Amino acid sequence: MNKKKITRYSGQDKALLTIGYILLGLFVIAIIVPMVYIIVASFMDPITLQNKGITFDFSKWTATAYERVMTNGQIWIGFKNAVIYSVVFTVVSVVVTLLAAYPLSRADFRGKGFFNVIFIITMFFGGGLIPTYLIVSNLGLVDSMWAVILPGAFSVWNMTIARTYYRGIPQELREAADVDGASELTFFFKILLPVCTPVIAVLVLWQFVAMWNSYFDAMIYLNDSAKQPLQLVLRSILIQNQPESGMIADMQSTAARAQLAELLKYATIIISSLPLLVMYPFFQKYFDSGIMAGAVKG
Amino acid sequence: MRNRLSDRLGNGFGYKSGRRYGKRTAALALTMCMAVSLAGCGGKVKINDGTFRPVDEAELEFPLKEKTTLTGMISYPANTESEPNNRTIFKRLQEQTNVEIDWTAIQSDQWPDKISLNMSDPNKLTDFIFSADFTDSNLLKYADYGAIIPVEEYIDAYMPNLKAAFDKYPEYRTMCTDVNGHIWALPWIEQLGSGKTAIQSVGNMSFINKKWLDFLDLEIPETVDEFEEVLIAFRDNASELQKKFGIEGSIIPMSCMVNSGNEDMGILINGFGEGYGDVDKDKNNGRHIVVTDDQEVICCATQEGYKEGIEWLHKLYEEDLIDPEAFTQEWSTYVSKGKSGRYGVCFSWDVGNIDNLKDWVPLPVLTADTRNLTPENGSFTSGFNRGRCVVTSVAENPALVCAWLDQMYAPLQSPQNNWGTYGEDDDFDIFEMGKNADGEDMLKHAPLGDASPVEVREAEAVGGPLAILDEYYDVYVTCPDDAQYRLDWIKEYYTPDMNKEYVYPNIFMSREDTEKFSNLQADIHKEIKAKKADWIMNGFTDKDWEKYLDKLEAYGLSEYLELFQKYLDSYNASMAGNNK
Repeated sequence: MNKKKITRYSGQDKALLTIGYILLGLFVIAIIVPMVYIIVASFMDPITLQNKGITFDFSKWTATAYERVMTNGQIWIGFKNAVIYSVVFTVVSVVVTLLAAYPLSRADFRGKGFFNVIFIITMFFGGGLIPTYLIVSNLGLVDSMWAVILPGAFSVWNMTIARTYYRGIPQELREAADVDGASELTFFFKILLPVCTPVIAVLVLWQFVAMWNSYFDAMIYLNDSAKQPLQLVLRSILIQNQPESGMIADMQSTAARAQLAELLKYATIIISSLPLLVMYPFFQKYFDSGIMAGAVKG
Repeated sequence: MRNRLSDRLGNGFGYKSGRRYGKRTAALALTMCMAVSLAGCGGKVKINDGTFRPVDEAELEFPLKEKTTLTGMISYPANTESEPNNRTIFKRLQEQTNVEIDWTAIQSDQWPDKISLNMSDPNKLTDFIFSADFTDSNLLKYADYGAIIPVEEYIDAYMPNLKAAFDKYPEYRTMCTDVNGHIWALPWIEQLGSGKTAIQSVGNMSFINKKWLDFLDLEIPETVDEFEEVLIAFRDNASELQKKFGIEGSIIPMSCMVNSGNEDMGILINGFGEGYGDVDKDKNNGRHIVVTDDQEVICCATQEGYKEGIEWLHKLYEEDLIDPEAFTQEWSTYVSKGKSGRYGVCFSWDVGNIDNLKDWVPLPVLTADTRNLTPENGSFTSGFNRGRCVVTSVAENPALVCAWLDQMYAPLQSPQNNWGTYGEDDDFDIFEMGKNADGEDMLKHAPLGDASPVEVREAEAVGGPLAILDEYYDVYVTCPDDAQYRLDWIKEYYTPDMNKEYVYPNIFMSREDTEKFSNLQADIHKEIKAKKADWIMNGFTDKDWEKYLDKLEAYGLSEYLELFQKYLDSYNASMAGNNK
């Protein structure tokens, strides 16, 4: 027997639903179409692509772009570096952020206002590019991976989010821990952090994506090409210097490089965004905030 | 892409809000920092205030008796050897001179961002910057801060090779010297032809599809009317052409990238009016000036001939003879359509980059009211880069630095630094060492097999300061093939039509004037570009033209021209002084 529940919709509901489906459908198309375009384009010869657009005629597809990318040693070095930087950066950054947020979330922490103000100031004012560079340089960090990781590790914005989340944790948890004789450290690591997984997941994802996509700090602070992260390698493939008119070698090499860039453009987009696309589903489950359920008895 | 550094700087500082703005912020910060850090770190790094430090010439005889280390900064192309001392050229130089260079190497695509940071950090500054490539305004800025030192006295005392080049071609000395008589940088000089045969004299070359012409049994057009007929024939016989040559995609009688310098179609209208044409129209730095035979600087985009020319181009556009994408397309689109063989006429430095060399021939200038070709400004002195290499204020022995750098100007060294070297262990070399007619050493271009010339060049060459003069060819070095065929084109198709006497020379403005110039140019160049594209597409009336002239005047066109006139006059005076 088919006991499927049949919902009856009124005419108004139906209209509303239809509109909802149409809007969502359009939204999905707006996201899917460019992705499909890039995937198909990455398998096509750039000249055919420019002249005739994408085609689903598989006989015309080639994997030349991927072959070029796979055989480009620099890209793999960049890939390895990007993974290392992103993982280390995420760990350092999330640890620092969570630790800094804790005292500031406590009502009984003296000097809270002072630290808050200091932190907030850095959100709105910076020293500027060159002074920042001089500090990093004088600390001896230039051309090491810490130059990319340390200066940006502490984010005031993320700290504020973690602090707000801590404040949302019921006071009773803390009181119960006190009664059982838990120290601050025990409370923080054993009780507070486990219930904060959603916010930790969010911070981890944000920081990882931010580092994965960043190239500017690496460009400024790193000289050694063996230390470059993926985005910087891709940038040097895709972005060319304006040729000085009259320099023969430059004219030729610019034309040659423009063709290579055109060929590799779409394949590199796919390769560089693949890790992030793979990551998202694994993090999605942490975004449900139902994790607090049962921590405190009503 | 999220840019964390700029986030930290706060949006108010907006490093990411645009390159221009960012640059200005960086420049401002730089100004402040240089002042503070140079003063503040005086104790740590010895600063040379630029006074001449003579040394005994015997101490500078290479190879040096004692091994000496200097520091230098250099750029290298992505995906090539990142340690300069592993390059054959520098290995050999080290043996010859007994000078070891401790290099800071920066990938060339990151150079512009990084060099300004390194220039602001006295602890990171090296004795010299091999491939600085500073613009005039940067050069004068660093000179003002005292970050670089003037080298004119060192050139005369310790740089015999460069001095010989300057003595032979005094215009290069004039071009390097600022208004106060200082030379702040060692130049890059690459002569490929000179005067009206220089390879740079026509950047914006026009090419016509000979294969199509032959198929349709047409002659190469000589006048604008004949040209129009040819384009019409291309348009009307599109389906035959498509069938005959198996072309995928529609036939485009003429394509170009309007306002994009070498890919623009400006060369076509050179014959209208008095024949000043449409020159100096580079996308970013176009100045739109020409020099009359009376040594007067005028704006070519306000001449009657220009007006008629644009009217004629509009007519072509109305008749569907110009690619409708001509106003918007990027280089990659332009090339991929060309590579599919869809063009009848196109514009470029070299048609080999657009389609192929076999089916195409250069299209000489077209006769309209007159027949003339205006060469590119600054082209008579061929390839020249003023700010190529600088000696910085941390150099303790500038005389030695200059003497070492002078080795780059040796006739057998310069071609190697510029193009590549000989006798390496790997597969291909740019050169092989041979003998010239007198039995002396000579670099001969070697066959490259199937290696890409660009890749071999990038793997071997080091760039930097150098001078390749016209008289070197066939004595010290052979002319590179890709330059030779272009030189031949110019001599054959274009030089005979260059009827005007002068081009605007490569002058070196003072810092204030550079700033004044770029402020004026910003508006003027933009207005000229915008109207040109608009008018070719939509046409215009005499009233529009009047309004345009008024607007340019309001933007300061006369002041702009006066500025150029001032420098032209002083250049001529200086050249006259040299020749006495």
